[in-house]
Amino acid sequence: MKGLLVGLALGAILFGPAAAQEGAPDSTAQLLEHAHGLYERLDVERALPLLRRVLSPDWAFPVATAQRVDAYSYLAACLVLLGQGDSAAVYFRAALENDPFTGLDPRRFTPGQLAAFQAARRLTFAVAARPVNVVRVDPRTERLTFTIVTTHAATVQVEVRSADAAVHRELYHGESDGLREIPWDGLAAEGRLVPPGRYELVVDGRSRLLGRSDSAHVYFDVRHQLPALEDTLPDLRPRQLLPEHYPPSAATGDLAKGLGLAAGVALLAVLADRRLGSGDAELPAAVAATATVSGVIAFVWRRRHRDVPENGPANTRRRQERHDANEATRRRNAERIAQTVLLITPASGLGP
Amino acid sequence: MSVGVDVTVWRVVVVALATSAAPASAQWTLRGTGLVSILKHRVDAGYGVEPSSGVVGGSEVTVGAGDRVTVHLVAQAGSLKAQAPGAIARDVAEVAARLDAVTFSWLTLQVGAGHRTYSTLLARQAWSMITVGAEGRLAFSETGVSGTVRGAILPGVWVSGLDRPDLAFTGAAGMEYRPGHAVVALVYALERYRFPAGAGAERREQTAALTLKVGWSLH
Repeated sequence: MKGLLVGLALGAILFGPAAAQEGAPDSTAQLLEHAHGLYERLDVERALPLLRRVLSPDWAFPVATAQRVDAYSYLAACLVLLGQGDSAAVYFRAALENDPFTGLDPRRFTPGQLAAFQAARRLTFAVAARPVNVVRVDPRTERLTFTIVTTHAATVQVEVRSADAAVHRELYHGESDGLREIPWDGLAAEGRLVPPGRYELVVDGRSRLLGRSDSAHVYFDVRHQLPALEDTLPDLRPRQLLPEHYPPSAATGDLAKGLGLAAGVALLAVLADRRLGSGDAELPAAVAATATVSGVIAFVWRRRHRDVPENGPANTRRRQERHDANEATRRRNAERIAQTVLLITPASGLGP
Repeated sequence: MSVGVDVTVWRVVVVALATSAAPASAQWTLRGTGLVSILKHRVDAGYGVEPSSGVVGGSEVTVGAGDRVTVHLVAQAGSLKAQAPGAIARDVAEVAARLDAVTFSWLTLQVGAGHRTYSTLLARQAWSMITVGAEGRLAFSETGVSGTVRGAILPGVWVSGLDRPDLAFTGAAGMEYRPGHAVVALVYALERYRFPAGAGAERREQTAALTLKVGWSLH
């Protein structure tokens, strides 16, 4: 009896982990890894139930799309080895419908499995585009490359559109079979750099074998990165220009200013301390008289000389200088805009 | 003037100067000006009014940064003769500095500080002053002709041997002509001070000046 207990204990130590791994895996990845191992050892009969468990609605752990595709592919490969070609085609098609980019490595699968997979591709039609990565693209020297796929020969139209569809450009229209890389230089249809914003890559495909259609969308944001731009100067305002003609009121205004200033001087003199006596009146009087005379002279002069022809060329020169400065600014800004770099980041949809 | 009012005045000055700060790329200008003033001084320290007057001469250097900020440095001196029996002749000398900040084309805020001495046969009296004020400019239609009106309070006045005045202000008005690089101005200025009676009599003091300025600007 004692020997039996020791034997059971040793067995538990030696075979316990493997039994636990096979019986109660703690993640989808672990179970798939175990199934792969069985498949590689050609223990297909034991791999099949494990793969079916992953695809079962009762499987309790989360299954990523890549894991689901992997399970479908190995399940189909196992069925090919067991001579169940029709069932294998169903699972290969399921893998392709989940991810049209699915492929079989010729080094790991038999020609029979590859042939079954190709047959499934011909029976399934789907198009897809890989999501874009965060990338910095200098449109002058670099291109953003989109990767699309069709499960078999199809007529494909690939277009980049802004979220509001105001900006668009067709990147490809023609036949395609399998993977295709499509470069984009960041320009819209009219040849201008696309403005910053949310964009989508739209792939529309129509099967040449089945007459079916499919489409795929990839969303991304475009931002511009460029050196800071300079502001141009506003147009010269009237008060920044010399007067070329004076209205009749200018003469009156000058007289009023002279008299007003004389009054101000008189008012200031009134603020003098009366308790210190008087006798300083001639000082403010001199300035008040000067102001009054200045106002009168300005009044008479301006009434006789309303036009100031010499200010015309001076104003023209000022306007030309301002125009030249703004043109120089625009040239510098254009040079900086030409250096714009596009920052591409993936997005989840058309909306924010 | 109370401490609260002092603080408010200085806040206004600091904000005005900060908003008028010259850009780093501002064009610098320099102007030298000669000053000749007829100065009339009156003081009543409780023994009757003592008038004196005379001619004061000096010079002013103005440094401008752009067209918004200007610094003025003034030095002037002269002798005042007694104008009544019992009055005492005195020499006057003054140095002052002032910062102008153009807020609008017609309005300039000003803050300054100065030191003045009155010297008589009997004693020398030192005055230190801080001024805060503004200058309005009335431009005539003819380029370079303008009238100016200036007013300032003196929140800080320290006079040797006296308490701080309870009233201190200055005002000025004049005409200015700028033909080309030259500047010619005629200005009337008035300064008034009233010192509290304290242990003795109330003291009142006033200067009135008519100043002719002739200067030349370098750009």
